[in-house]
Amino acid sequence: MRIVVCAKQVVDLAQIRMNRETREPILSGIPLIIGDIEKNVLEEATRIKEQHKAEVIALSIGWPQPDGTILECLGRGADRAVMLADPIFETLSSTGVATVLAKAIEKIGDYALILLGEGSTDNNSGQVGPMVAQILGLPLVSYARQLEIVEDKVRIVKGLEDCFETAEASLPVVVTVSAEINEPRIPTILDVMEASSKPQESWSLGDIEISREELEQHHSVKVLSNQYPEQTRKNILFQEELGKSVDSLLQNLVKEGVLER
Amino acid sequence: MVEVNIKDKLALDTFKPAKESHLKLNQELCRGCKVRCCLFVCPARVYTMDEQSEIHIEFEACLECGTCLIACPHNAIQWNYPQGGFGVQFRYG
Amino acid sequence: MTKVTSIVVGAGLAGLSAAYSLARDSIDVLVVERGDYPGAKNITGGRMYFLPIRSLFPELWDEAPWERHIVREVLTGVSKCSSLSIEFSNQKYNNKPYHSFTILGSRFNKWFAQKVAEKGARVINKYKVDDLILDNGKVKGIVVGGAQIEADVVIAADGTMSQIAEKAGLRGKREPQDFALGVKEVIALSPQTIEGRFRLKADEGIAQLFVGSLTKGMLGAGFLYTNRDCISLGLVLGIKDLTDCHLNVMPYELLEEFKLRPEIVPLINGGESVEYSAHVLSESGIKGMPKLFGDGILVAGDAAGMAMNMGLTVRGMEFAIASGALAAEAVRMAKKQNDFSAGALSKYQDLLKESFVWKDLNTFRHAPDVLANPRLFGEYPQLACTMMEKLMTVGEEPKKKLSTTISKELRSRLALSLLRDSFRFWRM
Ligand SMILES: Cc1cc2nc3c(=O)[nH]c(=O)nc-3n(C[C@H](O)[C@H](O)[C@H](O)COP(=O)(O)OP(=O)(O)OC[C@H]3O[C@@H](n4cnc5c(N)ncnc54)[C@H](O)[C@@H]3O)c2cc1C
Ligand code: SF4
Ligand code: SF4
Repeated sequence: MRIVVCAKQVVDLAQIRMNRETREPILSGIPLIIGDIEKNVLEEATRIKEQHKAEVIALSIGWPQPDGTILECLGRGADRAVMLADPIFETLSSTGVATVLAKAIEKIGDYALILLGEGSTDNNSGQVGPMVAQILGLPLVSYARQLEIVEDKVRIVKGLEDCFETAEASLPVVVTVSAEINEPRIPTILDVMEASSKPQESWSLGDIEISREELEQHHSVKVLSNQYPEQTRKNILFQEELGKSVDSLLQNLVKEGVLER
Repeated sequence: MVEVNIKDKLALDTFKPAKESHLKLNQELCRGCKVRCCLFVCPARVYTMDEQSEIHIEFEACLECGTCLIACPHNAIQWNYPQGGFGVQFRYG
Repeated sequence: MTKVTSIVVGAGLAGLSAAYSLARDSIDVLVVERGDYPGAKNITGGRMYFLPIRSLFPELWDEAPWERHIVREVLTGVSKCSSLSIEFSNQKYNNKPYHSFTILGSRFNKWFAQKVAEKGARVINKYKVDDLILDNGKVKGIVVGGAQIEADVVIAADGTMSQIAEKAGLRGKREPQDFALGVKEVIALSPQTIEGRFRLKADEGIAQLFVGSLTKGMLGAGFLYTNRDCISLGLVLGIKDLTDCHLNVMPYELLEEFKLRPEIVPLINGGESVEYSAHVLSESGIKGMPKLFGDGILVAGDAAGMAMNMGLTVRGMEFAIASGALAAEAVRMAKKQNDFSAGALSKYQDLLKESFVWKDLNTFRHAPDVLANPRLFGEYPQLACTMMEKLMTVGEEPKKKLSTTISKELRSRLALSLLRDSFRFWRM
């Protein structure tokens, strides 16, 4: 059985600082790392591999070159990896990304299970998985919090608002997983050392038979602004004796609509 | 003396706190300690004292400088670096 | 079990220099660094003297991320409300090869690690070496979170708080009088603002040292270095004084007071603080060094105590780079004989003794005693400021003759100690 894991490289959110004037994140110089949800995806693929005979192939597209993410995937249990790096990926919208992934997955071929995160750690659009399924004409099960391979089917428990749903689909299938699905283990240093000797391929756009013009049509979503909400503090100081201060505080909170009477 | 909120300074840095503390105290030794210098040598104010004169550690704020280990006269601190990939991560250095 | 020829613990300047040298000689080397990326844990003040290390990796330095080359040195003595600065500039400082540069540890080490990887070394981040594999006191490899990796030789380049040297039984307890705490803030300003405020051209920088009341009588000093797009501002405080003092002030409060001094405010005005950091540094030089080699192990850089406060400058970076390269050289020789015993690796110490590292550390071996003198950090800067005040100020009273003004100050109780201390400083 062949499992393809799509892994996205994201900026290290813990390192992001905000520009106080523009209220925009300062992205320059921020290290690029593998997304958190990708760790769950790889853990799940590795877990399946431990139970069934399976080959795990990591696929990452991005710019700058997602070589760190590829290594991380190989360290976390992928058997081999395919990387596609091109400046065009920097501005591509979800449909564009899904198109490229789908083409690459087609080229990899012979897939039984395609795993992605339910949404990326940075954009969290949640669209890529469903679109890949659509393009490849495969069934999709999203938000998996439990996954089991039963013969030639996947059985998946997905979390809905206030209940769980169990779904089954026959392979090949696209599954997006949520963070609850597992607790990713930290690879040992030996895993990391081994990673660099595992097979890696680097493909260009030409390799997946997609033209730049075709892709450029996918610059469809334009980000108009990306700012953190303005925070205004009232800075009210209650300086009466304690009992009175508490009363005034409560009154004010009610007035602001923070508390209800 | 100027007033400084150490939290404001620490907020400039990136911290990736581990689950477990990399600093541990031998409270027995601390109880007998008069100088309690950990309270005022630490540049991140990791050590604080409560009303019962017990010393507490807020390891998440540690800058991993080493001062407390060198300063503590009673060897009461079991000092370690956090697990790899955790703790403070500097961007300028 | 996995086995490599050499393992370097720590991707600081010492470790990266060792790894670069080894990889260049095609010796299999694995670098293990506990930070998220090389540079994530490396605090430095900011100035590296270039000439001692220039010949080590000549192919590298042209593209190194130097911040600015220093063209002006300023020494400022401060008293409570006045200050006296001596400024030194030298035309030669603007000629290549430059005399010294400012750097930022994280930016520099990130670049250096890249070069090390390009040479073929493996650099693994986010893993801490927890222990050594020991066999009858001989170092046989490392333990990382339960996994073991064997090696012919381990180079401990894990910084001032080296636990690896300790685990190999090469170093004992650290004493407060041998160490100082450095606290530092990085303040972002545009290159144009920096150049305007400090009267600099593009790429030019200054190094400024402050002594006096800012450390409240404690052994220590303040420093300011200009980087490309930010300023490094910090204090170095002797840990013994810090521990003994009952001033009830925290190190960061002293730093904040320093920032609020009238000499500093106009320099950093409008700048945004972007990082706050702290690290201990060794102050004892050659006296505080651990044993530098053992069976299957070498110790380099700060881990070997190769940093020192030499009066007006803290030095450690060149020592780290040079000792790393010499450790690699010793490994290369050991590998030729296939003998990694303490005897064979002792060549490292011989190489060091012939180098500037040992010579400089030896020349300045008395510096810690001289600098332990509290007058240097309290009374003398105060005296200098008082004298200047008397010379410069015109009050209501008729002004006294210059000679009377000065000689009165010099006849004070301080004069004799000043003479004595100047002599000791001179000899240092
Ligand atoms: C505030 C301050 C100001 C200074 N100013 C100057 C100056 O102006 N000029 C100058 O020349 N020198 C200065 N120094 C000294 C100089 O910074 C150091 O001497 C030099 O950086 C030492 O380099 P190093 O590689 O030996 O150690 P470090 O840079 O400390 O590197 C050690 C590395 O080992 C890693 N490590 C530690 N333990 C482990 C482990 N168990 N497993 C894996 N990795 C580990 C750490 O994460 C770190 O990256 C200053 C130092 C300080 C603190
Ligand atoms: S940690 Fe050391 S200095 Fe602090 S209270 Fe305990 S014994 Fe005293
Ligand atoms: S290592 Fe430094 S920052 Fe961390 S607790 Fe000790 S003194 Fe504080």
